[in-house]
Amino acid sequence: MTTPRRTARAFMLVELMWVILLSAVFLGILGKLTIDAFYLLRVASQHSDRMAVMDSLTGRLRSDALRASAYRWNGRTLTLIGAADGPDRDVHYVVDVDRVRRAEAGVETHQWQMFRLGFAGECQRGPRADVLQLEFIEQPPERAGRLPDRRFTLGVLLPPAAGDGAPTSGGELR
Amino acid sequence: MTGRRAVLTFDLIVAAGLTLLLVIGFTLAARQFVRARDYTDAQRLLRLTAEAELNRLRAGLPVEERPAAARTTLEQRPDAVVLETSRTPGTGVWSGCTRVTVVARRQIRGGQWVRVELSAYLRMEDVEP
Repeated sequence: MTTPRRTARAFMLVELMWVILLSAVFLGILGKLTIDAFYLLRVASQHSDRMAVMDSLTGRLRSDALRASAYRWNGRTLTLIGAADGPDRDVHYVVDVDRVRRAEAGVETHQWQMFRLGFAGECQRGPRADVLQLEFIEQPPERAGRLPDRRFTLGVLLPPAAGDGAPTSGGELR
Repeated sequence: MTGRRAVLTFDLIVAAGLTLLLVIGFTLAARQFVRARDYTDAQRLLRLTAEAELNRLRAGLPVEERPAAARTTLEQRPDAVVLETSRTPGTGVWSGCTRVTVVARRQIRGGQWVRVELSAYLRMEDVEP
């Protein structure tokens, strides 16, 4: 036979176990939410950084293309002739898969690069002008499953193409 | 003892209710945040696409000869960009030019459409089909 005191103690223990179990469940849910919130903010912050890289490159490229008198494109390097001040007036943009570099007078002035951001350039020649299509390829975050890449395509109107013998001042990045 | 149990049960119900409220609140906030980001990104994408299209028209490039990159953005995705171009003759000081309006649309999460419209006056020969 159990005494009332022992029954009360057993009851308290069972209740305590329940409280601990349910508290663990609630804390687990809240902990998961907190981790998800931090993950979401981190992904959003990285995305913002990529967009900032994109905006910076877009602005600089547009500005240089407007100032240039001619251009040359070899499939990877865009040379904007006369876009810079000074004796060596050419600006070179080298479009790599993972970064874009800008050089002026043979000196690298800018480099745009960001984790999970790719670049691809294509030049289209039109009857009246040429357009450089610069594609920004943003890869999805690591836990995003099978999300497709996000692509932003920039179309920059270029000055007339330089002829074969067009004067350039060299200093192209390799 | 019954009184104690009732107190504990009430406590647990309140705790479960508060946790549920927090979960719902977080889910709603996260959804709004993601939708807002989606909207901003779609606007950026549409602005760039519409601007690229205007530049292609300025260059005299035919629409059907879009580069592979632009075709991927425009056609091969479920959330593809819809581009519409309209032309109206310029009047007044703009006579002799054509007002070209490029409208880029895209559907984002939740079925909402984002729309960006860019216009420019181009010379007639620039926009002849």
